[in-house]
Amino acid sequence: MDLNINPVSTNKTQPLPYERYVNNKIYEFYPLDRENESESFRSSPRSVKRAKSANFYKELISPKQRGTSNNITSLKRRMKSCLFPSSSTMHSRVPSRFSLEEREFSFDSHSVPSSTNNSDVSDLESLPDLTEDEYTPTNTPIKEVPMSLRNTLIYDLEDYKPRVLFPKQEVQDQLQTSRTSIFDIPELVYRIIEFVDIQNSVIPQEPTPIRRKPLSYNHALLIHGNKELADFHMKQNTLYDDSQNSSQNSLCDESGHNANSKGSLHSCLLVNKLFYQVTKEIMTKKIMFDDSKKYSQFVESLQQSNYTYKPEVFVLHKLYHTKQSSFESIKDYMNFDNLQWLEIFMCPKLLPPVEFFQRGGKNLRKLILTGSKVVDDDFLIMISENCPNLEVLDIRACESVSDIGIYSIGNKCRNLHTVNFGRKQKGHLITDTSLSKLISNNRNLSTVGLAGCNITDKVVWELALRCSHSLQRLSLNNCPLISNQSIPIILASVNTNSTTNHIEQVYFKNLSVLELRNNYQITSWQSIIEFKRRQEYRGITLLLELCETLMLRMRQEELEMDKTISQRIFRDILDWVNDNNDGDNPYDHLLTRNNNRN
Amino acid sequence: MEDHQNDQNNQVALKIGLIGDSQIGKTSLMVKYVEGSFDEDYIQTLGVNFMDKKIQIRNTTITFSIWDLGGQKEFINMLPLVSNDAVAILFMFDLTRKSTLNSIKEWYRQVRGFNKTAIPFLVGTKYDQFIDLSHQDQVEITQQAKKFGQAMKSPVVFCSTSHSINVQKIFKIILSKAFDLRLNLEEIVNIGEPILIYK
Repeated sequence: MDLNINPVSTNKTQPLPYERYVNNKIYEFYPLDRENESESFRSSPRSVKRAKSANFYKELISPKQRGTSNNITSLKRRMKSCLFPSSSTMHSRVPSRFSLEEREFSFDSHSVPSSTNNSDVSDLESLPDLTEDEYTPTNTPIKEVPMSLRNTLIYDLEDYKPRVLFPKQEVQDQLQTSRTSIFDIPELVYRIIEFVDIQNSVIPQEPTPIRRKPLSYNHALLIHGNKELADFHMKQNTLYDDSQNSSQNSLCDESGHNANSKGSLHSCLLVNKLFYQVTKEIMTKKIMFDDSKKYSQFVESLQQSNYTYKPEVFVLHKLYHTKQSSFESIKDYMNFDNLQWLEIFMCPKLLPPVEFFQRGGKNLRKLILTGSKVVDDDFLIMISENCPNLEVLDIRACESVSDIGIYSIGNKCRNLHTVNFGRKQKGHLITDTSLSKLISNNRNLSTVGLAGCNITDKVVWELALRCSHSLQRLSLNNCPLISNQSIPIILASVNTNSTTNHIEQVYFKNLSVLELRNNYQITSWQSIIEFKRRQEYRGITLLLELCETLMLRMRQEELEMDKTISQRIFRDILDWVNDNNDGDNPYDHLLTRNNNRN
Repeated sequence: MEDHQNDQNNQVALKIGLIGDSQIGKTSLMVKYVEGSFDEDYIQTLGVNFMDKKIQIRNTTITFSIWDLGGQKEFINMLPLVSNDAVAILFMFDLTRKSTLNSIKEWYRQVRGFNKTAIPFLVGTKYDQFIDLSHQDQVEITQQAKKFGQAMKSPVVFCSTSHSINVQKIFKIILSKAFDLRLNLEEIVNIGEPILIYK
C-alpha cells in the first residue's frame, strides 16, 4: 500500500451502516458469537446469500461509480434531490476521492446487466449517513419513494443514452440467480475490504493549522490588515488553543469517531470465514492508538492470543503515560518486517526497541518521533544503520539529539524528502556540520524544518545549490545566525531570458512556505518581497511567517517599493495622456464642409 | 483598479462602463477604440459586450476593460455587471436625438445606485451628423449638455466614432481623472465645435 496517499484522515465519508439498507436482515442471521458462525450458515444458507448480495452489491458498485461517473454526478445529484427532496441538503458528503481500477470487478454479462451501472441501487451509496442525526426516520428514506418515481429516465451525460432505472427488487433477483458469487473469490474480497479500510480508517494526527498563530494583537493586525480580521484570527487561535488544551475531549471525539468508522470493518469480520480472515489480515496491518487505556487493553489481549501481527502502520498518538515496559513487550507478538510507517507522536517516554528495525528496517519509509525525551544519538545511529530508505524523518523537540545522530542519518539515508529537526531548546547541538552532510546526500528535500537550530547562512546556501528544485517548505524560525548573506541574496538571483524577456528564478523555484521568525539579522527585504510577488505571478502564494518586528520591517519596505512603482506608473501615464499625436483626427475639415454647404 | 508589479513591468487595469439609450453608438465607440475600425451597420447589443484594450507605455501596461450595456430596457438588470467596480462610467447620448440626452437623467440615477465612486462622463456621439443640424438645434443641445455636465460634475465630450474625433481623448481624460494627473489638453467650448470640457 502506498503510504503517501495519506489514508483519508480528511475524508469522513462513511457508507451507510448495514441496518439502514433496504434489506436489513443481516444481523438476524449472523450471531455475534464467531464460533457458531458456520452452524448458522448451514441452517439458513439462502437467506445468507440474499443478505450478502443485497449488501455487497452496493459495495461493489460504488467504487466503479466513483471512478467513472465524476462528470455526471452533478446532474445525477440534482435529479436525486428531486427524487429525495428530504435528504437533498446532505449530498455534499458524497465521496469523490477514491477510484479503484475498473478491472477489479467483472460481472457475468447475464447476471448483471450493464445498465445497472446507473441503477438506483448505486445511488444508495451517496445517501447521507444519518446515524448522528436525531431526526433520523426509523426506516430508510429510500422506501418512502414510490416505485413509479424510481423508474424515471436518467440521462447519462457521457453518452446521452436514456436509461431505465431498474427497480431494486429486479436487480436483487438477478443477483440471486447468478451461480458463483464474486464474494467467494479471496482476491476480490481482499480488494473490497481494503477499500472499506481505506475509506474508513482514521489515523490519529494533529490538525495542521493553516498558518501559525500571531504572536500578539499588533502582529495579527500587521498580518491581516484590518481590525475585524485581526480580532477574528486572535479569537480563532485562542479557540484552537482551547481545543488543544482540552485535547482529552477532542481525542475522545476522535476515538469515538474512530470506533464508529472501524465499525464497518468489524461488521466485515462477521460476514463469513473468508471475510473474517481477510478483514483480520487487513485490520492488523494498521495499529493505531490515541488512548492509553485502549492501548493497555490491546497489549493484554496480545498476550492471550497467538496471532502474530504484521503491521505496516504503527501509530501511537499522545500516550503520555504509557510505560516503556508495556511498549517493549509487544515486540514478542509482532513481526515488524513490513513496517513502513512508525509514528510515536508526543509519547515522551517511549523508545522503539531495536527489534522494530532489525529485520524489516529497509521497508521503513516514515519515522515520526515528535517530542520524545528518550530518542538520542545512539538511537539515530541505530536507525541510520537499519533503515537506509527513510523518506520522512520528524524528530521535532527531541532535544537529546545532536550533530552526531543527524550526521549518521545524513551519511546513510539518501531518499529523505521531509526532515524536521525543529526545537525550542538545545539548538546549539545541531550545526552546519551534520546538516551539510545530510543535504549533500539528499538532493530531493522538499520540506526542511530547522527551527531553533544553530545553523548559519552556509546551510541555506547548501539547500539552494542542492535542493533548489524540490524545496517547497523551509522553516528557519529562531535561527539568529541567518543574515542578509543567504535568503535575500538567494531569492534575488534571477536569470532573464533574452528572447522572451521572462525572468526566471535561479533558486527555490517551488518554495511556498518560508518561516523566518526572530531572525533579526535580516534587514534587506526588497528581494524577498520581489520574490513573493514573482511567485504569486506564477501561481504560488508564498506564505511568509515573520515575527512582529520583521513583519513591520517588511511592510515598510513594501510601502516604499509601492511608492516608487506608483511614481513610475504616474510618470508613464502622464507622458501618454499629454502626447498630442494620439490618432484622433482634427475636426476643422468637418466644419469647413459645413460652412461651404451653408 | 489594481496596480501590480511583475519584473519591472507594471500593470494598471481600469474598468469602464458604457451606458445609454439604444442605437447611439456605444458598441461602435468601444470597437473603434479597441480595434480602430468602424462599421456603419447596426447590430443590436444583446445584454453586455466586453473588450480589453491594452496600451504599453514604456514599462507600464494599461488595460482598459470596456463593458458595454445594451440600450434596450430589458437589459437593465445587467446594469450592475457593467457599473460595479467601474472606474469611469460613460453616459452616452446621440447628439442628433434630444430624447437620448434626456434619458441620461434616469441612467445616471440607476448607475449611482450601484456605484457611487465611478467618475461620470457625458459623451455625445455622432458629432459628424450633429454639425448638419440647424444652428438653433446645435445651440439647444450643446447648452443642455453643458447643463447636464455641470449637474453631474462630469466632463462633457462630443465625439464622432466614424471620423475619429475626440475618441482617444475620452480615454486620456479618464486616465488623468483616475490618477489625478495634470492634462495639457486645450478645452473646446464653442457651440458647433466638438465640445471638450473636462477641467
